[in-house]
Amino acid sequence: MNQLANQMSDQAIATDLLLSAKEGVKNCAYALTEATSDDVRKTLNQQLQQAVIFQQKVADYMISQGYYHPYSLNEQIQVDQMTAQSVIQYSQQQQSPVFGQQPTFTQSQNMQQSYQQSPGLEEQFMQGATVTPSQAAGTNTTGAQPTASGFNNQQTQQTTAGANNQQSQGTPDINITIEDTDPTYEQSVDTDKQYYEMADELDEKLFLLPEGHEEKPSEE
Amino acid sequence: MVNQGLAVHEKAELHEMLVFKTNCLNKSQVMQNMAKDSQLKTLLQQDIQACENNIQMLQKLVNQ
Repeated sequence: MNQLANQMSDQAIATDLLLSAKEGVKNCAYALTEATSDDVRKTLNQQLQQAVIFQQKVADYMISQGYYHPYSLNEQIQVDQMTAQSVIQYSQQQQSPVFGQQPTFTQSQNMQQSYQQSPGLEEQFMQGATVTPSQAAGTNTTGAQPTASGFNNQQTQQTTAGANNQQSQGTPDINITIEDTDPTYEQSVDTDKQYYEMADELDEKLFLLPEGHEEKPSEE
Repeated sequence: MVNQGLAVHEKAELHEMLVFKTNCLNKSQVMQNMAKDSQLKTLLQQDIQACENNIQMLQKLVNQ
């Protein structure tokens, strides 16, 4: 793994350098079009020439190392896909992909600290989960927005909000929190199914749906 | 052309370039320590020197 990371880093550095060089050429050329005084024009012209030559050097280096295949699109696509794949794998090893679980950092202590110092996401998720149906119905479409960060929860909120919109006049004050109906929602395992079930339970409690209606995905 | 200092948009662009070059210099310096390949290290070293040079020139212009 370590070796892979080392191999990766040279390619990553070269790619970043090439992107910077390209960007440098563009920035310089754009700045040159805005130049009026001779001093500025002269300086920027020099820097533009430097930037163009440097970009050429970096591109040549990348071609010689096999990172960059300008004449063969297929090869280039293969290289890029392999790179993307290994970066994704590396990234997933660095941080836990499942939302709501404690992240399992092994190497980067700094990242773990920064995660713990910023509990905003998780708190947002909790708040989103405890939005009551009456609140959701009261705020109409905007009621579903705070749950955008809690991805699985979104479905539930939209379902209840939508259902409430249909008969919001008939059901003025009903307070049912999702936390009460599901104590294990924090584990975020098989959450889709759980939230679908919860949504159906909620709808049945609100007498919005007949029992055992056909759109119940929990009975698959 | 008579030297009247810099035009506003000119100064803004130069400032933009200065920020960009500073960022490049920072990055190249960090990456030079991470790079394994000697050729890549040379390239980065060249970039660092070019960036330092460019930044000094730009600073002179911006401070005019």
